[in-house]
Amino acid sequence: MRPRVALFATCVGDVAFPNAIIATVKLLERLGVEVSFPQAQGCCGQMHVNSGFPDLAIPMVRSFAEAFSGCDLIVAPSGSCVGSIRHQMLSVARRSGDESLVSHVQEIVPRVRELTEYLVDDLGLVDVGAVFPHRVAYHPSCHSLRVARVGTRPYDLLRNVEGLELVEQENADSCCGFGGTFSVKNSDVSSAMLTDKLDAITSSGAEFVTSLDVSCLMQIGGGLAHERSGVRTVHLAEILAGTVN
Amino acid sequence: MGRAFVGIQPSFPAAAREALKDSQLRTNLAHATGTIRGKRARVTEELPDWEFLREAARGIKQQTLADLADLLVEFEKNAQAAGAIVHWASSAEEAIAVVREVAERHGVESFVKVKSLTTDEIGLNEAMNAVGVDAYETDLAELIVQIANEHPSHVLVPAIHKNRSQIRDLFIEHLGANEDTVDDPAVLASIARAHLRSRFLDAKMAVSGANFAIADTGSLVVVESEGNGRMCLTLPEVLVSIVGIEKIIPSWEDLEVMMQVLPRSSTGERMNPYTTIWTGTAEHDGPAEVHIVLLDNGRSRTLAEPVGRDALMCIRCSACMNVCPVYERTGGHAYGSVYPGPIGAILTPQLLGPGQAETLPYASTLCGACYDVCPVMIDIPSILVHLRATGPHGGTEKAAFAEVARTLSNARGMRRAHRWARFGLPLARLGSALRIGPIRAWSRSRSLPQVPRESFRDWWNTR
Amino acid sequence: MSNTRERVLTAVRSASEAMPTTSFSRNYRTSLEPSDSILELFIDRLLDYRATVIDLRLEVDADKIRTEIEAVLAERDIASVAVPVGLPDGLRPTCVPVVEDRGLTNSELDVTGASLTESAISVALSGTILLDHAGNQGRRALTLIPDTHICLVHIESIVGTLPEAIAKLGPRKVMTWISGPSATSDIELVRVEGVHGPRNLIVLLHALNS
Repeated sequence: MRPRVALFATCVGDVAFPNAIIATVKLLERLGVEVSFPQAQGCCGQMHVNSGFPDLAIPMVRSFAEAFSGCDLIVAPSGSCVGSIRHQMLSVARRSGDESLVSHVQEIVPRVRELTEYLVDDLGLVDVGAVFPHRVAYHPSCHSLRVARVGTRPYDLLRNVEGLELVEQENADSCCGFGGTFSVKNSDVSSAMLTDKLDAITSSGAEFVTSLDVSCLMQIGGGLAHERSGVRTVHLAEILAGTVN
Repeated sequence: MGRAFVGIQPSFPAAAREALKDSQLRTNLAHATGTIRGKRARVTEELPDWEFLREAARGIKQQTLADLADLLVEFEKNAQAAGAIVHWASSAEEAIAVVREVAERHGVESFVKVKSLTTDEIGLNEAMNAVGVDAYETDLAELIVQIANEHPSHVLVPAIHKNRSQIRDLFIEHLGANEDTVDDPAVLASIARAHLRSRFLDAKMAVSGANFAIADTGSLVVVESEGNGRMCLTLPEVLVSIVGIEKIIPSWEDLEVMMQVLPRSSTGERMNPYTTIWTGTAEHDGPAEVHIVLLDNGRSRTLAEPVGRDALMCIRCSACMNVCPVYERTGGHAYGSVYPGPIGAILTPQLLGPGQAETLPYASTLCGACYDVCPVMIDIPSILVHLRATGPHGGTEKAAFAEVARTLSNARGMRRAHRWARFGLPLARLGSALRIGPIRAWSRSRSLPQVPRESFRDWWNTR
Repeated sequence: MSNTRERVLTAVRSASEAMPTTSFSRNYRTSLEPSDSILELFIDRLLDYRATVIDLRLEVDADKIRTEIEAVLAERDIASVAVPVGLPDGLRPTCVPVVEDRGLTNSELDVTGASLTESAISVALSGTILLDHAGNQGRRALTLIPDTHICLVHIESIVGTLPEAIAKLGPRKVMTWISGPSATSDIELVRVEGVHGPRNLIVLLHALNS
């Protein structure tokens, strides 16, 4: 039987970085997975929780739970959103005082997978048949690394991409400085962190930077564009799907 | 440092902006935190049971908080039975009054001090100076900070913001070191030794904090490296130790856990050079008069916070600030508190109470590096997020987030969000070109993304 | 003051009232693997701290140990030694003046070249020597003020881990744990050995039973 998953596109992905999400769909379908896209989905609520408005996240959590009700497995190409779903969504549901929402969320959360987790753990693949003959720096986003805890899966997948050279970068696992509201409220510190990240990337000799999170790629890509660096940002799904043009 | 807990603090973003202008500071910090991160990683990775030790350390401190009142009473009883005089202080002023009374009774004009964050928290040195008693810091870094007339910028290495040549210059200016003194750390340490030697040997009184207070024995524990702690704790006739009430550990046995996790997390050593443990007074060994001040100063109020109370489990190892990307850029002074870095961002606002240090919970990208290294597994990011939720918000900000929340909750809203992003971002780009609005600071170092004409949803529905 | 005490305790009690009682596991190691050589590990750690190690692990003859101590004193030009009253006579050097600590003043200790003591128990994994200041170790000032501490460690008093040492020793009125000579990392986090405590720690391993 064909494996089936429901796609959580994430709000930023859906609206501003559709290429990453389209790549996710194309990749999964190429691997024989039947992908559905529940239309009622919106945001996981992380932005509001992390900005100090957890109660405003309640309707988002409710619509998430309704959208993915009855889905076996839910896949999202984002360490950050998956991390938030795992570690914050239940506490938001509890704030609603609605017991049925709480149990609904409790039932959904264990079925959510970050894309690399789904590929490696559920499909048992590290080689998805991708070809990408370029030098690539991987930015392990903080939330994929320390909240969703995807471990070495992204590296395992990248190492099996034909022609891809994974370059070392200094302090690879240090934060890019985005941090959502942080980049606005503490934009100076955010910029200082970004500067160091950009230095590490450009001196690594990479042609592309990739990550599991579009928000980090927006920060890093914004910095690279500002510096008029030739290094491009792509989501890992785009490399694996072969949709980078 | 009285500054931390009196007066109005500048906001973190403003203080950080100032700190970022100091490129020497950033170089010093990057070098120092990078070194200690590596050391910590090596000595924790070599222990196969490190995670078990963390779990036990967390368990011990959680048990401490749950049973704190009983443990304090038990500690007091055992310390008194061993000859200590136990005082209680609910505020900085009350703790200072105890030290002042002891100093006056013994007629001392000065005392030597072991590095202690708790005494910095209550502004002890400044308060005692005001009544004519000099407090001599004896830890090398505290000495450096004191002669520079600055404040500590790190809980473990208070002079982390200074490099060796800056310290050499201070020693020439304030300690009478020769003009041709080289900036070799070993040479600088020997100058400090010579400077403090007679102060130790002649001191009548010392003031310390404590790393742990053991309830079932009534003992205090001080962990240090240089031997200045041993000097202060051993040679004077009278010793006053100011101990935050959260420093309790239930039992002697618990030391076997805490003394494995603390040094490795802190200096990245398998064990710190010296640990002194004392229980009241001992005959013919050490101070004949031993005082212990159990200090609340905002701790019981923090303990009442179901989420935030975990901050009280902190054992002041400083691992969180050594891995924090924000601390590494700004240094400790930007936090305006003796407790900087991630732990400071959750501890300071709670110890100070409502309306204080409100920008600190936002001084983090929530990257989670602090949680990963914390030896007592304090979930600092979650507490930061919690403090953001309980703190104040501007009306405009709240209205904007409410609007976004309504938008991102359903399919129709998501389509609207795409239109906003498409047309809002060009407007923002225009704004940034004209250098207006909050976008201006962002776009000083970043370009805004191009939002494609077609959202993912559009693509899915038309393919 | 007693009012303050009640106020603090009442506040603490009410703050923690609703806290759940927690339990936790102590799954950490309480001993090393049999394959680990405790003695070699201990020496490795001490050397890492830049202590000096004199390895007489098989030595059971007091005269030979004393001779070795005298060699150390000669080599380092140490002209006087302070010892605790409980140090066995057979271990006391004869080549330099030896003063027994029966209440030496700080300045007397300050002009003494070295202290020579035994120790209570040692932990291999962290290279830590625990003094409980019994008669063979003396009071705390003795091993603090002189610039060199020669510390005798019986090889059978070395355990693998801190939990073993804590269990064996039990609480003591005063204790000093020593892991190498005094040190600081306060300047650029560069470790420098030798600040206020003894700048030289000489650990002499032996097998002499008193």
